[in-house]
Amino acid sequence: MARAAPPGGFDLPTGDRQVRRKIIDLRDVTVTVSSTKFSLPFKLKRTITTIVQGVSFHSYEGEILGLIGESGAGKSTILRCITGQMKPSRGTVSVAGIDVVHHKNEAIKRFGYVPQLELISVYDHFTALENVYYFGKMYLSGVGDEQIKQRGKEVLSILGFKEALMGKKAKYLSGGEKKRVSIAIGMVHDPEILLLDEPTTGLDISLRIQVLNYLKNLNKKLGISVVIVSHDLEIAQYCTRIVLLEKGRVIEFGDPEVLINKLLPCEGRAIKLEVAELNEEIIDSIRSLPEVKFVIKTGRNDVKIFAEDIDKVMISKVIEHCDNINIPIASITLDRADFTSYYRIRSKLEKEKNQTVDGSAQPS
Amino acid sequence: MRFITLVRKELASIWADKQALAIVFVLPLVAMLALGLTGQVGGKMIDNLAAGRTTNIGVVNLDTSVGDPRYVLSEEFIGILGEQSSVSITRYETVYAANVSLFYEHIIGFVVINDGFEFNVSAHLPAFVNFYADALYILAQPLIAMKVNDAIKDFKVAYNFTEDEINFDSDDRYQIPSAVFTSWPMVISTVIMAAGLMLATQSVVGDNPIMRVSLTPSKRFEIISAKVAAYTLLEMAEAAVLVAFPYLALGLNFPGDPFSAWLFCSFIAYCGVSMGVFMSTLATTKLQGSQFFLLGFMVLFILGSGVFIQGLDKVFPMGYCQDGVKLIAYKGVSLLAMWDYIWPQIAFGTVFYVAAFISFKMKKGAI
Repeated sequence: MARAAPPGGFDLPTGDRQVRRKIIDLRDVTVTVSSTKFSLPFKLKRTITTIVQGVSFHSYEGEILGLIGESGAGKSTILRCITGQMKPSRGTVSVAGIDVVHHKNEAIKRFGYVPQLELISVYDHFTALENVYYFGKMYLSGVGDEQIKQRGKEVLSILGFKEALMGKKAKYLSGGEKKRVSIAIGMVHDPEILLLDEPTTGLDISLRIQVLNYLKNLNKKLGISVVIVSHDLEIAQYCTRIVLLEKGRVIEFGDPEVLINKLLPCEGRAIKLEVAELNEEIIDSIRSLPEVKFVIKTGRNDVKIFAEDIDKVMISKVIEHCDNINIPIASITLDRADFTSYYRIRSKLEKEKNQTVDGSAQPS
Repeated sequence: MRFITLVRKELASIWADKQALAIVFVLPLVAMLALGLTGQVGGKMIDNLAAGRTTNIGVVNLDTSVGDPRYVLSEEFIGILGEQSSVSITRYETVYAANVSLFYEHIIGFVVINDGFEFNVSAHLPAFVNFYADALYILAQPLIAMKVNDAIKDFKVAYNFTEDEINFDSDDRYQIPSAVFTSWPMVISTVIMAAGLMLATQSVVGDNPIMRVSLTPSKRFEIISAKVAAYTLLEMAEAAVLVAFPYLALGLNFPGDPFSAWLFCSFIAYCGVSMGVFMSTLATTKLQGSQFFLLGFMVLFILGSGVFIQGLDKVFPMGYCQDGVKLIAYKGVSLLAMWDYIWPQIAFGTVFYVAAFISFKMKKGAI
């Protein structure tokens, strides 16, 4: 993907962008931390905890990689390893081909970083443009003030900032605007990769979508690779590649479409059924149809039905079944599985698998 | 270049907080006036405070001696004391009677003319006038001192006494234009050190995006150096107010060079700021930063005085600054001859500067 030329033509460590190469590459990364507790009578107890174990994944340039997992899954630890804030106990981490562990200072120039909280990334008493300018100057100390300001304006424009808003102090900006200033700070030195820690946390639904769309826009217009760390499954639809983390391990890695197709029948196609009043009995009764593989509740009165074949015949069978049990249908449409559906079904299967291993229950 | 950017960023951050900036410049003026209360300006203030009120002073004349046969000098002196503005005299036969009156607050103090006053004064020998004031009335002592002092001066002029016949006043070898500025060097060293310490204890812990800055190519050494440089510059601006105030606002001219005195103040500013930045790197919350300031303040001004542990005043920098400013401003000593007063301050500041860097380097604030 072609990148926009930096304003003023200053040299940046962009590397060869024509060859598809790994922009992020983690191999067998393990992070352990030790803590020492003192207890009376004068005993020292050392505990070693493994936070991340044998994590391997990669992303190619121009891609959007999503690092998804619940709290405590090890997302932030992995991000800290990528940014060089933390050294892995084992394994290698490379960013744009640079070994972060041994060449942190060089790697820092290659990525832009957007922390989770604006409080720790944006100076409230500076304007949006001043924030971008000062951080830009720290990266590009030899470049003229005007060039950096120009670059700042360019990035802020892509992120939807008008001239007047650029001159507004950060403390008067909304949460979404501050987040975009933080993203612009990460982008000002024209990095090869942008790392974002929970970029949608704390934003309402419309701002979440807005921020993710701006990221997609940056990815498209500037060709920058993006890594998004989040517990928000919604980001998956913006990602080229997904790393699913659980308890410090990678449980799935790949293209979200491929992952969905691998798990769900009929390439993730589904029937979306909306009824007047939904309850567990109705869900169980639909689940009892022999062709149906999975049923998940997606709203107050609607479900998604996954079956071996999703076609007119299957739709007719569902309608007929609802008639038989006297359930009035509000709407029935063809739909596709999103990553949230995938994640919920996967978690459920995983739980059932574990219960089978324990012998405590039979799979449904 | 990156260092310059970081310094500019720090100065711009300080500039953005106009309220804090105002306090930085108002604080030294308030401190100077407050600490200089006992001097001439203080005296004028006392005069103003006392204006319109009658100062009731008791007098006990115990003198039985004989001097110049033309006058009863002790009574002449009492008369002159009574003529001082706003003074009302009450005579007592005994010290006991005056004490009783003082106890019931009929008077704010009393003057005792000791036996031998007339003889000694006539023979040009030292004679002593004692006074006793109500310690519960804070202005009593300076008020009586001022009135008695003025009465002595008038008495000496009226009767042609040109020597130290009545030895009441202190004798300053190096006379300075206004008594308030005897405390000026102390104010300068104290205010700059304390203000530098106070501001800088919030410099790292109050800078929320500092760890984000450390994820740029900026080195941690540069970040700390920029903090020290920016806050020292701010303290230099504060020092400029302290130095310029007596020259410009009060029209006083010291024999020394004010610019040299101001430059000399940069060393105490460096000390306060370095110590503050170090403490700020240790703090993990702003509240801790404030507590560290109090701790530093106590250590500096209680232990550093050398009163409790002798010799510590030679380690802490305020004494060097105070003595140095006195030498430069009051005695006209050149800044170039002040090395013995400069290097202990540089050493003190540098110890904390290096400690700040080490502490910040070890800080694990991952974001």
